Amino acid sequence: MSLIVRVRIVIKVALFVSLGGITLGLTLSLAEAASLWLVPGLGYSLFGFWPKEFLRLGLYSLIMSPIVVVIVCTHFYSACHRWHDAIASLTILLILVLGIAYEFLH
Amino acid sequence: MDLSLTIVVVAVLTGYVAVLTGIGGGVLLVPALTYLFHIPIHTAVATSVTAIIATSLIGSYKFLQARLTNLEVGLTLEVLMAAGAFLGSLLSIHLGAGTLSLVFGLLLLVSGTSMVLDRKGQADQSKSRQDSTRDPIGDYEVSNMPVGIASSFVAGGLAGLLGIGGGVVQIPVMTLLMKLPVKEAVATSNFMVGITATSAVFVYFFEGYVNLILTGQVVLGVVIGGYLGAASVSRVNGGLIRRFLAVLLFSIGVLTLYRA
Repeated sequence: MSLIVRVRIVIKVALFVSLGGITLGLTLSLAEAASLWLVPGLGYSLFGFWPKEFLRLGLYSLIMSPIVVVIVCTHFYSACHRWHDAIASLTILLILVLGIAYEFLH
Repeated sequence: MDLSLTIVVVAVLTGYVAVLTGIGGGVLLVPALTYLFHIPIHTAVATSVTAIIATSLIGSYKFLQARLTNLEVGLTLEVLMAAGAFLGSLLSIHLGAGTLSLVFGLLLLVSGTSMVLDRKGQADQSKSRQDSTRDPIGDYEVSNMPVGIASSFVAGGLAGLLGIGGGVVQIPVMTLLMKLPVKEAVATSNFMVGITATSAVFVYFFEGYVNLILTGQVVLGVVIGGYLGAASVSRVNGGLIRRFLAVLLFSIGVLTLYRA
């Protein structure tokens, strides 16, 4: 399977999960807002934590997807011994990991 | 932050116009969020950076399908672009809202002016984007790689600092200096901006500038707008919209500088 096909599959799955999570989160937030408006207290008991969790899942997936794309690129290039591209991909990964580590370094 | 249909509608319009005119969505999104909804500029930039990941993924999928993205060039340039974006976002959170607005105002003035001066080039670019699904990647030699790598750092820094894609710097560099065909440059830039935005978004995320509901609404709106724009790109007069947009960006730039 070529690199381009692999990257496309990753992007397709990532978009499905991300946009699905965001849409579900927003829809539930809307339902929560409506139920709060109709029956005060009902919204919290029904949707107290759901909407935010789905939104968070969707946005996390979205943010993590380019990292998975780079991992796929690194794996592919390494397998083909294209060392200069593999080093480039690994360096990008390192920068992205540094971003994740920012909170701990801060 | 409450749910707001208005934010989704504005995001749809932004995504639509961004695809139709070939400008980065962040240039429109950040002023729209700050002026129309009075959202603090750092939050607007963080939201824009996250939305860029979504638009980049969708664009990348289409361009990869057409085999236009040069992954080797993209990954090589991305090393310093990602580093630049990370540093740009760090700089952004340490700048005051006034200073950031000032820099953004300058960017809007430059964008508006370049849109007026470079209408023909953009028209060619728009045309090649329309044709992009037809021609597979061709044979060409990439030159001036060191210059490209250096400019990527600047593009990444601007992207992280201001919440823009960075294509505004990368595409001219790739086409004029590195001799990539326009179609391949647009496709490669589109692939790169998602990774660039990812390296910037962590800083904003951990500093608490990413609002879940606001970002969710904007991402969804921009994605819908992007799809609509891509579907209607051959039917709508993009040139007319570009002229209107150039005036609009210039005016918002002057207003932003005045307020800053």
